[in-house]
Amino acid sequence: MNSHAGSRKRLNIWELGIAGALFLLGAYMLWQGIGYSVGNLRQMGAGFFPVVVGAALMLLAFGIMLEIRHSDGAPPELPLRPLLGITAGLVLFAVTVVPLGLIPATFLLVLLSMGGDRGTSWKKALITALVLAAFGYLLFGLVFRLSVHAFWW
Amino acid sequence: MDFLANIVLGFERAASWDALMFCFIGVTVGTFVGVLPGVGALAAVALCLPFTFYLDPTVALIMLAGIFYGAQYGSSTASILLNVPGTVTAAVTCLDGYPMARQGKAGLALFVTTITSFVGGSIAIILMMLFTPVIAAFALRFSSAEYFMIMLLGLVIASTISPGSHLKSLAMVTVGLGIGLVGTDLNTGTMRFTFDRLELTEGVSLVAVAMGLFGVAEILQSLGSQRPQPIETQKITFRSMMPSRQEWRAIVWPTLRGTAIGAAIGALPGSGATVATFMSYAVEKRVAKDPSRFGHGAIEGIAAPEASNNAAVQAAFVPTLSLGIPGDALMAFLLGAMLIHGIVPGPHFITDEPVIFWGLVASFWIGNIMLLVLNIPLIGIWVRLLSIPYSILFPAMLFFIGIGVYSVHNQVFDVYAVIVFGVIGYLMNRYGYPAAPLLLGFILGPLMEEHFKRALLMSRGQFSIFWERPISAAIFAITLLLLALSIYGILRQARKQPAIETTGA
Repeated sequence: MNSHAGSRKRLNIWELGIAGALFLLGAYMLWQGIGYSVGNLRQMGAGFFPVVVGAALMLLAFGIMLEIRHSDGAPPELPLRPLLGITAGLVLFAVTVVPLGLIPATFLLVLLSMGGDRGTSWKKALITALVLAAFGYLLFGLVFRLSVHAFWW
Repeated sequence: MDFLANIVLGFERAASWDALMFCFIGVTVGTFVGVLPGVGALAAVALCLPFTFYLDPTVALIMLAGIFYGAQYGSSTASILLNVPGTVTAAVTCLDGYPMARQGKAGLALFVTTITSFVGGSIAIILMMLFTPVIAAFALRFSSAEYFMIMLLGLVIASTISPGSHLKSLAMVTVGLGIGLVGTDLNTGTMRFTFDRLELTEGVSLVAVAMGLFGVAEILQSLGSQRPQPIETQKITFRSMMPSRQEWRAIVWPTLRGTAIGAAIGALPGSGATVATFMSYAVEKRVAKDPSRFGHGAIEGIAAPEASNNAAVQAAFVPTLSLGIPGDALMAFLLGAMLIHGIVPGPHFITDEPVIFWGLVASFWIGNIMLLVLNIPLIGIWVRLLSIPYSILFPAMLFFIGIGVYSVHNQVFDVYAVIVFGVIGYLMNRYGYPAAPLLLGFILGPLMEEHFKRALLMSRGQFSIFWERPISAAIFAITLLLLALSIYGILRQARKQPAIETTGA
C-alpha cells in the first residue's frame, strides 16, 4: 500500500461507515437499556448493564472514527459469488431441513455453496452433493441418531 | 498422600474404555483439523460440542479438550509442507519449517515439531497438576469483586495484547458483551434484546456465534482469496525423520525455553498460545549465536515455538479450571461447553468434582501419548490428507456447520444466526476487527454482570468495594495501567503519523 499525500486528506468512508454502525449499535443498546429500567447501584435493574455496555461501545466507536478517518483502506471487494452461494445454501438448508428432510437439504446446501466457488464444474458439484447427502444421513441419522428425517415421508 | 490418590483416581477414570475411546476420537479429530488449513480448532470444537450432549460430562470434556490440544500437533504439518499454517498458532512454524522442507528435511522438521510439542505439553501438564489446586485454594478467598476484576483484566489483556488497533479489539469486546446480554435477565426476568423471538429468550446460541465467526467467516475468507494448490505428496520415511545427535543437542534448550514461555503466557488470563509462539521465536532469535540462520531453516526456529504453543495450550487450562476464567477464545468456548454440561469450573470445582478434574488431567497424558503415535509412525496419512482439494472440503464443512448448529436445540433459527455471524465475521476480518475478543466478551459477559451485581449488593451500592479489598485493588490497578499504556500508545502513534494504515485486507 503506498499512500499518496493527497489520499491522506480523504476520508475513508468505508471504515467510517463501519465505526458509525458500531456507534449506532451502542446507542441502540443504551436507549433500550434505559427502557429496561436502570435502577440504582444498590438495586440494579435489568437495564444497568446494557446502558454501561452501550455507552462504552459508543465511546470506543467514536475513538475508532478518530483513529481511522484518514486511513487509506480500499473499499471492500466483497466476494459476491461465494457470499451468495454460501448464504443461499445455508438459508435453503434451514428452510428445507424440517419439511423436506436431511438428505434433500444437504444436497441443496452442497450444490449451491459449490456453485459459489469459481471453477467448480456442475458435474463435480452434483457428485459431491449426492455423496455428502448420503454420508451425512448415515452419520447423523443412523450413527448419532439425530431426530431428523431422511426425506419428507 | 492426597495428591497421589487423586492422580490414581484420575487415571482410573481416564483409562476406562469410554474415556479412552473418546480421547482417541478427540485427538484424532484435533490432528485432522490441525493439519487442514482453513479449519480452525475452535470451529472443530464447536462442531463437535452438539454430539457430546449425550455423553458423560467427563468423557465429553476429555474429547473436546483432546481436539483442542490435538490441533496443535497437527497444525505444524501444513506449515512445514505448504508454508500455510494449519491453525493460527503455527504461523511462526512456517518461517523455518518451510525452508527446511525445501532443503529436503521435511521429515526431520515434522519429527522435531512433534517431539517438542510432546515435551512442551508434558511439562505444562505437570505444572498444571501442581498449580491448579494451589490457585483454586487461594481463589476460595475471592469474592464477586475479585472475580469481576479478573474478568475485566482478562478482557483488557485480550484486546490490548493483540496486534492491530486496540480500540477495535475493545469495541469487539463490548459488542460481545452486548450479544451476551440477549435473553432473559436472570434477576428480574426482563426479556432483553429478544425482538419477541421465542428462540432468543435463552440467549444467542454459543455454537452459532462460534461457528459463524470462526467457521463460516473462515470459509468466505478462503473462497474470496487465492488458495494454495494441493501438493504432490512426498514420501516421508522414518529414517529421514530421525535427528542426528547434533540436531538433538540443538533443540534441547530451545524446547525448554519455549516451554517456559508458553506455560507462563498460557496461564495468564487473556493471552493465549499465539502470543506465546511469537514471543518464543523472538527469544530464540535473540539468544542465537547466528540470528541470520533464522528464516532459512533453523531447527531452533521450529522447536521453540512448537514447544511453546503446546505448553501454552495445556497451561491455559489452569485459570479456566481453577478460577473459571478462560485465557483466550478457545478456552472461553470450552468454558461455555462445560457450563452447558452442568460443570461449573472455579475454585470449588477441583474439590467438588475430583473425578472430572483429575480424570481430565490424566487424559491429557494419555492423549499426548496417542498424539505421539498418531504423528510419528502415521505421519504419512496426514500428509496425504493435504491433497484433499478445498473445493470439496468446504461444502462438507458447511454441512457439518448447518447440521451441528441445528441439532443443538433442533432450531432452524440458529442456522440463520450462523449465517448472520458468518457474514459479520467476514466483514470484521476484512476491516481488522478481531473475532476472538468478541467471543470472549460474549461468554464472559453474563458472568461479569452477575458478579458485578453481587459485588455491589454486598457493598450496598458502594463502588469502593473494588479498591478497598487488596486483591481486587491490585487487579484493578493492573487493568488501569494496561489501559493507560494502550491509550498512550494510540496517542503517540497518532502524533507520529497522522494516518494509520488499516490492518485489514
